[in-house]
Amino acid sequence: MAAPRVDLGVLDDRDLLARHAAGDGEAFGELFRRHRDRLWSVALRTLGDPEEAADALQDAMLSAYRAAGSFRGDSAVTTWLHRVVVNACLDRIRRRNSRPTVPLPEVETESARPAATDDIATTDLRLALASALATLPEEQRVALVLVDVEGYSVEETARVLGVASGTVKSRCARARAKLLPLLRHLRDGDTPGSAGNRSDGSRVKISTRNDHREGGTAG
Amino acid sequence: MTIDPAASGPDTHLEPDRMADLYEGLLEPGAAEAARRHLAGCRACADDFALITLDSGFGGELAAFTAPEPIPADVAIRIEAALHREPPLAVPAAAPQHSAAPRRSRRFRLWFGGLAGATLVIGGVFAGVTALNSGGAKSSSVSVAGGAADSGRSTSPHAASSPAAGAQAPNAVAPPSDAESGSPQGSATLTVEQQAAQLLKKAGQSQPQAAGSTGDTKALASRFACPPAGFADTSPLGMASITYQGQPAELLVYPKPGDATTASVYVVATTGCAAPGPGEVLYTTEVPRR
Repeated sequence: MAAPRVDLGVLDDRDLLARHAAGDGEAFGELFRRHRDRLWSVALRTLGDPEEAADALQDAMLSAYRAAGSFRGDSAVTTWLHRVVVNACLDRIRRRNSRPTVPLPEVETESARPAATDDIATTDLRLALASALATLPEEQRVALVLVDVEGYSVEETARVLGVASGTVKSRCARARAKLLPLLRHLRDGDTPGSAGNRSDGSRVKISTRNDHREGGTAG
Repeated sequence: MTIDPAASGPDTHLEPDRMADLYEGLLEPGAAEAARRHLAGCRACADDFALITLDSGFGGELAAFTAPEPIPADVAIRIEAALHREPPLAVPAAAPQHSAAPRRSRRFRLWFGGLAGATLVIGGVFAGVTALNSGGAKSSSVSVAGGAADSGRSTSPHAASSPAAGAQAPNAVAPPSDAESGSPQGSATLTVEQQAAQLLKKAGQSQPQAAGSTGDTKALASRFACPPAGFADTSPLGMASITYQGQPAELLVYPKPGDATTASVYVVATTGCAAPGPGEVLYTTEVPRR
């Protein structure tokens, strides 16, 4: 195989996308390799199911690959990629919701599956978080995943979702209200190793689907 | 599930959803005022309200409670393979034919295309006669003449009709360049998908046999000692010796379990093959069994 003419690894995201749009058959692959872990993380936590996340990420990457020529550079390439991934996830959620026989994933998802090094307390919180995320309405879940799990700012998240910042704040507030018992552990400084072993014996209350309530009216 | 003692309860504290309503301005003026009065006098609810309305979010702190795992290798491979199957977005500027004679007429292209097609047909007939004369003794190799003819119809972009074909696709493979190919045009480069499609075509797509083989599936399967994991007992629909990214490899096409319309394709390294045992998979993809 011929060696690449240019070391794609030294190019920034915009240059890679421009090369891809100009017909470079390797540039988009480099872009994908560069961001795939974080994009995967967003897809997995948004959908909660590894197989669906893989399908959504593949759909998203193919869409981005084909639509790269229309990228106008108004936002960072990563923001654009995240938007494509989030939209692919939302499409899947909507399709899933239109099929009443397919339930939301329960606790045993990839992100919730206990790792070998987990102690019981951490596992409790992982399960609680995964379960609670799965109960949130899709728009609240995506906003919460991006802001509180992935660490994006409200403004970045607004750009990814294509909504006003106030809408993101509203959706996050609704989502946090449902996750409040879990968040209290964080606020109180519980580490993953101690959160489930509080001296008062309290445990995290997991939201149920009956707790569903649509939100996000601002903005 | 027990309840956190700090949880807001009815009649004693503000419920979380009511706090969100307050934050969004959805409460009636009187109810909003009452809620604010409660927040001013209740430390627990005020703390909860601050949590819910935190503008800066948790800065990713919740990620500590989810397993930060990288993308699984099989997912990454699958997506990269799907991307490799996509055609390039644009024609590179260096494409010579387009810049040299942009106004060359459609008639010329039709004439040239007809000539090229006739050449391929003659070449295909010649290769077919050669293959028949060889008696299928080298059944695992790919007919390059046939590959060239097929490539014009292939949907795979990298080695087919695209002007960018000069840049080899990452999944491009070369048929054996030695005498095993049985063809003097052995330098042609096809993608894995194209070669797999050829094997399927020659195998009749449903009967497990390799290109030019006798149809003895056990003999076919036994010719390669290191099939991919999980396929030790599966007879391939086709197989061929190839060169993949500079190293000798075996291209194996299997029926996809549970999907009669799709074939699973594997490129397995020949070097280091220690039978019996699964071979090192260098590349995997799927092709339709049309």
